[in-house]
Amino acid sequence: MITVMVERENPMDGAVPGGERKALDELFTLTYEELRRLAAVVRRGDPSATLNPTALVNEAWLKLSGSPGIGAASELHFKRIAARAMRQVLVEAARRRQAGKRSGGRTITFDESLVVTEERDLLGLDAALSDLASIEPRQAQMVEARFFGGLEVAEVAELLDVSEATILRDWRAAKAWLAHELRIR
Amino acid sequence: MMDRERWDRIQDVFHRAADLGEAERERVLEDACAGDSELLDHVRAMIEEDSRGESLLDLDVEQVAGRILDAPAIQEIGGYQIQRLLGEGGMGVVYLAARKDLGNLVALKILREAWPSPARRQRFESEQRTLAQLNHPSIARLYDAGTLADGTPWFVMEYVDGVPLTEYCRAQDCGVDERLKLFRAVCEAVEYAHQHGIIHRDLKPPNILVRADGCVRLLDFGIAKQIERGALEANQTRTGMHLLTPAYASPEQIRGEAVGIASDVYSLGVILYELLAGRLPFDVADKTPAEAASLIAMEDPVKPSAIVARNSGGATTGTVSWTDLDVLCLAAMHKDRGRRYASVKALISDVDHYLKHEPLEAHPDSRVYVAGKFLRRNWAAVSVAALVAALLLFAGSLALTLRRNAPVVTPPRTVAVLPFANTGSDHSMDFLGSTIPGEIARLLGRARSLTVRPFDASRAGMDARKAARQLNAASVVIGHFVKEGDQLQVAIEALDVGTNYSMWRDTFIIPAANTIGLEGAIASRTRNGLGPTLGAKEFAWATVMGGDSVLETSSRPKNQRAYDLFLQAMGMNGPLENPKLARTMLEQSLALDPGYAPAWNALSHMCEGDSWYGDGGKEAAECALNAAKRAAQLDPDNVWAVDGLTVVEAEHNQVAAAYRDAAELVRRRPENSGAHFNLSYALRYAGLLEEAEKECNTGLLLDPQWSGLRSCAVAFLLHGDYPRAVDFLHLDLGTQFEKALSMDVFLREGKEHEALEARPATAPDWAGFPVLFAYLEHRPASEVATLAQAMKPVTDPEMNYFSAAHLAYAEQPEAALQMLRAAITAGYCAYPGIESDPMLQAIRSNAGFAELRALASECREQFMAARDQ
Repeated sequence: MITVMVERENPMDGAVPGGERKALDELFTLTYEELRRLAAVVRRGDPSATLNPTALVNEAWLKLSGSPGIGAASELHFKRIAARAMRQVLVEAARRRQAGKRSGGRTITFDESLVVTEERDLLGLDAALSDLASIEPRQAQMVEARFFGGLEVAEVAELLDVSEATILRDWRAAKAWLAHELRIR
Repeated sequence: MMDRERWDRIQDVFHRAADLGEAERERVLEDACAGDSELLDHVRAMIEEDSRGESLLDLDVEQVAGRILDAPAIQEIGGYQIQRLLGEGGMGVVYLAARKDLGNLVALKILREAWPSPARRQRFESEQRTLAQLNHPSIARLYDAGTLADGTPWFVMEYVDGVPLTEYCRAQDCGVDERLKLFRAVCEAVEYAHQHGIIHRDLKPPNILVRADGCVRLLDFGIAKQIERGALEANQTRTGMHLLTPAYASPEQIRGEAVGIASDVYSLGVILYELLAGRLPFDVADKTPAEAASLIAMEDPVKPSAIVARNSGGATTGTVSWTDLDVLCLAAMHKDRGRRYASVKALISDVDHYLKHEPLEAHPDSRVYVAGKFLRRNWAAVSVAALVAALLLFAGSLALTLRRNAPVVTPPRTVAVLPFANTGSDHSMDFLGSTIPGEIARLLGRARSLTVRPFDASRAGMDARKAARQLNAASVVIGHFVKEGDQLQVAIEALDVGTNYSMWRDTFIIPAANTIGLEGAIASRTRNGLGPTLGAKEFAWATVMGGDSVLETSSRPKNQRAYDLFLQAMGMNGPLENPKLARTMLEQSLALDPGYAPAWNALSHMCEGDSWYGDGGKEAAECALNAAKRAAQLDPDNVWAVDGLTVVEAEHNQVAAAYRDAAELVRRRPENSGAHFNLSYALRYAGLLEEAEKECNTGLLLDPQWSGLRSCAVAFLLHGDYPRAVDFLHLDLGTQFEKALSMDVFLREGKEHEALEARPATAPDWAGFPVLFAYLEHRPASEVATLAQAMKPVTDPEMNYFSAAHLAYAEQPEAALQMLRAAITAGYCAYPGIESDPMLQAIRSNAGFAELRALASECREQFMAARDQ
């Protein structure tokens, strides 16, 4: 069921029938929770932990692949969903930090020197990627898979069913465009 | 915003120009853009970014994540100035902080991993109120709590300047008695919290500090729940667990199951172990979570005495009775929560016994443990007969279960027995569809290590997994039967709901006329195969060791004719069809065999039905009461039998008797949630809501999510604790009962609009809801009045109380006063509702209310006097 679901033309931005949507959501939720947990482990300073997205996603896959419902998804499709979950985890964390700062005057103040540009950029990237998805969903999916999921070029090519050369070419253009968007947004 | 065509064009020009030298690139760009200056600018900017290569996407996401996920440095929260970091744990960080106005020092904890949703944030506050009420010298006070703008919860607690319990004992070189006294103080505090319905969930030495003056202080009560709930919300129970400390977590916590009193008892056991042995029972320091989990779930810890003996280079000496200390620890730490101390109070009591050199109440892990060890270590010496029995047992069921369900660490403990299907065409014995599973449920119900859902014949034909979910049961027993000629074939099967594995199944054929034989076949299978597979170990080991099984003392049919009469009466479709005939048959059956409890139970139901729906009147009510008494006397450990008796008593103006019987059941079955619920029921009729709430809380801790506890909401509702009332209603979410009682909550909170929104599709035909609906829907006053006048008091006085409240709200004061009078004079003491229920406000100033108030007060005093006798 899940395999059918993720092979839809554009699973990233809807157009998935209700039941499959639900299965996708469940898989996503599970993955998202696991990544969040792993991120928390990393944050607590466990020296053996890593923030490398490829490693995180692999660990999540190992952990979840035995779960009912997930077994049906191929590892590659799982990675694609994990990439989206990773994006969500990071965006959420960035939003939390921003929300925390905004509440400054009343109850909570932060050391402003700790403000990082990554956080603003990440939220910008998230918005720009959504824009790109409305024009060229495949390309947005590619960026998501490569950047947030740490998928190899070959893996992205297989996932999107195009050549590796196409991926490299599209990546370069998308990256340049997104960089520009981040600068002007 | 550009479109697809534009984007393709941009990319096309970009790729053509990007790798060219500067001069040629400009030429290509000018040429390609031909007067489209916007396009030209856009591509130029992209090429610039491309050659610069410093955008976010050029970084490793690893670095980005590192910065983003790092917690921000907070200086001040809610009027507290942060001074320094005290520590960092699984759930968050703790700071030393000072109140800005007064300057006193507090500990401020921020739960970084909780990430709550808006719905959860709402409940956070009401829970903090409960926690703030914990007022015990050994529990660090919770002063303040709140959430950051993004919802991250924070707590301000008493700052305790002390060292962890284990460290203190080491530094002070405490003796065994001294250690036990400190441990006892910890237990007292935990027991106090349990009495208030709060479980710690994360007891461990870092949360137990000893101050320089030797006083202990427990930290972090109820905080772990915030973490767990976040995880539960995300439908991923185990996430929360990973953030807790595995070394002190119980096997059920590790498995991600519901947490209750027993989990805190387990953690206390581990702490005691560590205090006595000087090390943890399981070394999980360098294990992966999965390894730690399997260690804790599967391995038996070495006795503390053995470790002490090893470390002291020989036998343990002195006045210390290590055998008893081993028992204390291991009984608290039992892997099967049904075999641990049933409460912290029981644990304290054994600590006291030890300190006073008295024998303990816990046995050296009783028969199961001994039998297990005995068979494992000395199997050669076991008598041939016992060995054969053991082998048969293992070959028949246990071994199979273990092999097939290898990933399942222990058999599930919550069981529902569903009606059996008749898969043949001969319908002459259709009653077996409910009598066989009813008997199985009754027999399984005797096992303390199982929680068996009350059998409900109305679930016939329901999908097993759906029914199990509704009943919150981890396993279900299903089955079918076929009658062909004079032979009857019966199939019984137990399913693990989570995995859909068949845990156990059996089919047998028996002459259809031999119904006593059928009952015997069912009982022996329940004792030897089905029960042990489901986790009722006390059935199996008793058989192997030749002792008496709990089943042997159960009430069983002895007379063929009597049993047939019983079965036929059960097949008569209940009291609605022909209660009088069914009653006569049961009475004949009981004349022949007065020792069979289920027949008395059935008789009680028939008479109850006759008194409610038929014309049996007072005589039928008497019959219901007497029969229920006989059933409970014959089967005093049977929760449902006593439950039936209590309900009949409470509804027939004998609340004091109901209380006595319910309290006796709790004494016999303290581990059973239903027993506590039953006691709460009697208490709330008597108007002792605080005590009723305590029993409800205990019931919920013992069996979280059991929908049978839903009517506990009434106690909290009438006491004005609306959030807790809602908690209990949510156990049965989506049902008519839940929706109707939610209306009661909203109306009492003054939220009429919300009450209307929450109402069920049709008005329940009980407790005056039709009147209330008509009133809320603004139907003509005459219609409301007509409906109100048509209402008559029913047998259950609590129902009449609710009718009165609804009538009062619907501006029908006369009818309301009458109804309230009916409730109170029938033994529903209506306390403290008579004084404080907002829904009765409309009639409080009416003439005649003062008299009702006096009656209610008298009702309660009478109960108190009867109880104290």
